[in-house]
Amino acid sequence: MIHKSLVPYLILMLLKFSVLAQEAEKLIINKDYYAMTLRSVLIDLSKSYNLQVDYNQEDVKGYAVSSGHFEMPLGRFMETILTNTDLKFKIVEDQIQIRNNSGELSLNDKVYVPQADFTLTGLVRDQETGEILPFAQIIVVGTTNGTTSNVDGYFTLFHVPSDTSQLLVGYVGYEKKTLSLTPRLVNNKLVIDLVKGSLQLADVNIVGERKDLMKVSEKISETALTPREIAVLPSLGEKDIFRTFQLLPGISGSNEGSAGLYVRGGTPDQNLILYDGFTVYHVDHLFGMFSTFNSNAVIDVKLFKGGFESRYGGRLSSVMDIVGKDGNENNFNLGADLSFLSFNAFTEFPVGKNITVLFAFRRSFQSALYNKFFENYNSETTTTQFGGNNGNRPFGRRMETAEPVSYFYDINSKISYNPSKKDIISWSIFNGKDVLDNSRENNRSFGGMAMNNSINDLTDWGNLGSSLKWSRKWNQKFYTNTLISYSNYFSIRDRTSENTRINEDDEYETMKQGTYENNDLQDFAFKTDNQWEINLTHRVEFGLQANYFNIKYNYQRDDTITIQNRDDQASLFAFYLQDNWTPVTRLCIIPGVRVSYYTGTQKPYFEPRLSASYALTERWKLKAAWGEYDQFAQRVIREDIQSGSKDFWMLANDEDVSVSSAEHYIVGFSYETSSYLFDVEAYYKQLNGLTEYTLRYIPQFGSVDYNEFYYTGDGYAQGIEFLVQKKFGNLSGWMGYTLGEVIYNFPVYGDNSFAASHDVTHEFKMVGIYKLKKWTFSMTWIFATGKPYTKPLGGYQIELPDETVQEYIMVGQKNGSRYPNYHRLDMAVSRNMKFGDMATGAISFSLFNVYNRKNVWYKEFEMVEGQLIETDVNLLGITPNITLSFSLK
Amino acid sequence: MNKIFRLVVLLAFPMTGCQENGEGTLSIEQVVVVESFLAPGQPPSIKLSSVIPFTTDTTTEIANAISAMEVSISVGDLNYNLVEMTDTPGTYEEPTKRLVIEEGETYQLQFTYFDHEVIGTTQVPSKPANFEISDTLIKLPRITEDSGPGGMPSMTEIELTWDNDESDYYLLTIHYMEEEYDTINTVFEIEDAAAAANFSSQPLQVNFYSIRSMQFSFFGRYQIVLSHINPEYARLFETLSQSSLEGLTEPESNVINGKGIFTSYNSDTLWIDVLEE
Repeated sequence: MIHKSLVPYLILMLLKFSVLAQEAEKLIINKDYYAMTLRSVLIDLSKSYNLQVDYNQEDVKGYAVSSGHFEMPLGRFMETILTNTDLKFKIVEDQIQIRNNSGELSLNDKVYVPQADFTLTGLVRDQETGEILPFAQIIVVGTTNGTTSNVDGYFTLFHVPSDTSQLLVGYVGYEKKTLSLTPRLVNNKLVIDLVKGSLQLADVNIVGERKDLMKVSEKISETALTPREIAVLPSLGEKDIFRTFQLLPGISGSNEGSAGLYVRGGTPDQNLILYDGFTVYHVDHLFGMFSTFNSNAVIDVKLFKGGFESRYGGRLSSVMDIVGKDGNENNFNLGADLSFLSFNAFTEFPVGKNITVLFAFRRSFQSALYNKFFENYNSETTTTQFGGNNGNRPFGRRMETAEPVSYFYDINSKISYNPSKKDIISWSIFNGKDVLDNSRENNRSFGGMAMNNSINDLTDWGNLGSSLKWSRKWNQKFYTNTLISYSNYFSIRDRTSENTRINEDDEYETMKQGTYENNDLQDFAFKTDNQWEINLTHRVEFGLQANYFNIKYNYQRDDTITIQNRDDQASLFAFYLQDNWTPVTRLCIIPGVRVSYYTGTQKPYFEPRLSASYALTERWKLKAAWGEYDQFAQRVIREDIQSGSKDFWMLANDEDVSVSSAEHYIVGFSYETSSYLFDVEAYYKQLNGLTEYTLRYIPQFGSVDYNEFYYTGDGYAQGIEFLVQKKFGNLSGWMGYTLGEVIYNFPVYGDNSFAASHDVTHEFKMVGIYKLKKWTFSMTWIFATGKPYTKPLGGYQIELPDETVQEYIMVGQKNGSRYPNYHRLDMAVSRNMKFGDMATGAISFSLFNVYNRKNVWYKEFEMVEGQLIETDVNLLGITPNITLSFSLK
Repeated sequence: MNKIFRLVVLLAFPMTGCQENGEGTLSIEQVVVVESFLAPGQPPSIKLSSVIPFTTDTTTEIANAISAMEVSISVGDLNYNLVEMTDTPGTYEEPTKRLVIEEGETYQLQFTYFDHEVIGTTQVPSKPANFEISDTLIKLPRITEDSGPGGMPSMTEIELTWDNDESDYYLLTIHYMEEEYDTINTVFEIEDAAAAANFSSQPLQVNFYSIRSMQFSFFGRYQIVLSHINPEYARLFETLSQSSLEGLTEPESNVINGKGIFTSYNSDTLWIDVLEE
């Protein structure tokens, strides 16, 4: 019979992440237990360090702990606190057994059955914050057997040769870790903690550990970026994920006026942007100078430049999959960045043991730098008003100067909850908005009349998106990810003037003139993705997706004429199935199919896809992909000089806006050593059913059948990309070259094909980063062939019957000429700082367009008395910026 | 297979320039600008000129008249040859005066320029029906330095109406008929009297137009012409892009193998007198 008081006092803590991955003996006890009873120390030890402490309460009674044990390994700590007692102890893994000298230490060394050729599962996370790391790479050292963690950080690795094998775990931006498996590790929940290759940490070069800013995947056309690392690159005031991707080959780097990505001849709307699972439809802040994603709120970004897998759909060209940060699991953290342009702050903290919270906020302020961008991209703070046709000029022009109010902000928040070891529920919300208000009001008294004249010049655009995701690891082999999401993109442009006057008879008269545009897109989605790791040769993924779109577009003039008023709804249902098939080692084939049904056309769409990679040797890899892609929601772009990019989304209906489709063919190879990567890919992309919107024939008068606005055409994009990357060392970076062309054929422009407006023949990019102690120097240089434009060839006049004369320009071949070549050098220097043990920071100075190259954005032509006046409107000149960063951790 | 072949070709031979100048595109010297507005009761007149090429030198060039063309207009089975006027080179008229423009008829212009058949076709629209004016006389006070704030003209509106069930295009032009300019508002100097005295609307697809009394700058008689015009005529008034960002545009011409316009219109006229109060 055992006395109750003798029942060993056991604390079993089933925390999600225990210390099992490390030896308990090596655990450093850094709490100060000065002047506490031994019993309370043991209780705290079990709580604070997740240890199981087995002792008899009677035995420890009356003992106190003195000082002199601070920051000791557990073994020595136990020895120290039990000195001068008649107690002895034994530590086995995370268990400590304490008995008096007459008692028997019964704790046995655990014996594990040796395992060979077994399946290993585990989780990869950030050591410091406890955040999960999606898409980390895990490989068995000395083999080609490897896998990738899923979006929630879990991985399953088949056929691990033995329980003493070594794993190499890598994640872009983190130091690579070689982990020696032990029988104990593989029998418990394996959590692999990776250490950030932080720019804020003192430089420690440990052989075999590496931190990458950019990582080209072994899979075809796939690249990952570390948002945290991009801070070292030159920036215009905001480190920007999209701007960094524009430094890669295959992605156009000379579009300063758009943060969106032109990937391999595709347009930004052909690039699917997923943020925590929901689609984001517009990414521009401040006329496209920055993207709408705050890199402080992002943990992982992957870009598929083409040939992407069946689990992604609805876009023609490329996919950008952005995963938001979960928040710090261990500690409260706070950080802020301040630049000439904006203020950016974030906080992350755990709530209890199962919840983490992240909140990030960014807002611009109207600094001199902001105004510089604003003036550059909003070339005139004036309005042009069209009056009656008086005399030779068809319109009069009146300039008014106004002080515009303009700003942008964005908010990211994510709450993650782990109700059990197998489930993660996360709620992510994102809201961003740009406001540009150029409105003004005049009150005049004129004779016997009071006149009120208000001119609205308001441009608002932004996004609101949210997703609720539930991930569950059913067992070692089956994983499900289910989400519901909502995404809204809105864009309002109000360019109306309202005249109210009180006439002599005290009557109000109101007239509204001008244009009003409103585009509102709503996308409700349900998605479920499943991963089934059948065995080493097959990993099957399948899922369902349902979207309901509601897109409104309203375009009015003079509050009487509705030029367009569309309110379209459609649903899209998709199913996909794909298999990661490894028939032999070194060869991976991913066949897949995506089947969609779109209610807008009431037709099914069938998209087969196939990609493969083959490792010739450890260093040489061959890769290829083919696939068909369809797009149902189209963005129609109308670039606008005064307010930056102007676009609106439309749902395809096969009447005026067609469902566009593409077919990708990609082949490539790579050669990779531990320090260098050489990667070549060639692509050909056939594009069908492209829609263009034209301003060409929109009359200023009368009613218009909007169907006439849309032109349908075809095209193709082809090119070859070269990348050389130095991945490691004090000097790192890459050079990329792309030879490409994008040719369109729109019957409305004639029988001849023409180069698309974003066609670039040669593009060369160079990124260099040099680290010297606490300093980081970086530079980027871009060279790109000038983009095509349509050149005026001559002018002519027509005399109307009322004897007025109108002047016209005769235009040349569509996109038959090119702007001068684009090139630009940016440089930056940053210094890391440490504020004691509590906080870190950095100060960086950045210089954009160092040699003040006058790159042409567009040209304006005016014909005055038979003479052509040609004006070059240039992109941003030399621009300096300073950013201060601060973070608690 | 074609695509795969393309890809192979692409890999084997880095791209060579693929921008061909499309066949059939006329060079600028080969382009003729046609100006012709046919109206019932008026002798047809065709003006032919060249496009002024934009060159790097900044001298202003005048469009060259295109002479010695064999220009003809056909209507139905009849064909009329036009001859160039000796005093106005590049202007062609029908010498026999047998060609009379009639409402509803379709006329076709034809000539050859640099081996290309230049063709324009137009059908003469109907005369505006029930064109009416609300007042044929308005009285406005003359504004002088001494008038004071009370001397502003009233906001009288002159209503013009006509039939337009088909949403056709109409154009209003207002011509000042006096030889001397008799200014209503003497406080402000008017720089270009002719431009201020004559004004016109944009093409209208409605059946009414209001002239505000403030639009009149001079006392005297005005002629109000309402023209029923064809769509190609209306297109001349479109706002055209002047920037390469949006893509340069020019009006869509109804002249095949040429620029400019070959059109017709049909007018009705009313009068209004603006008198001093």
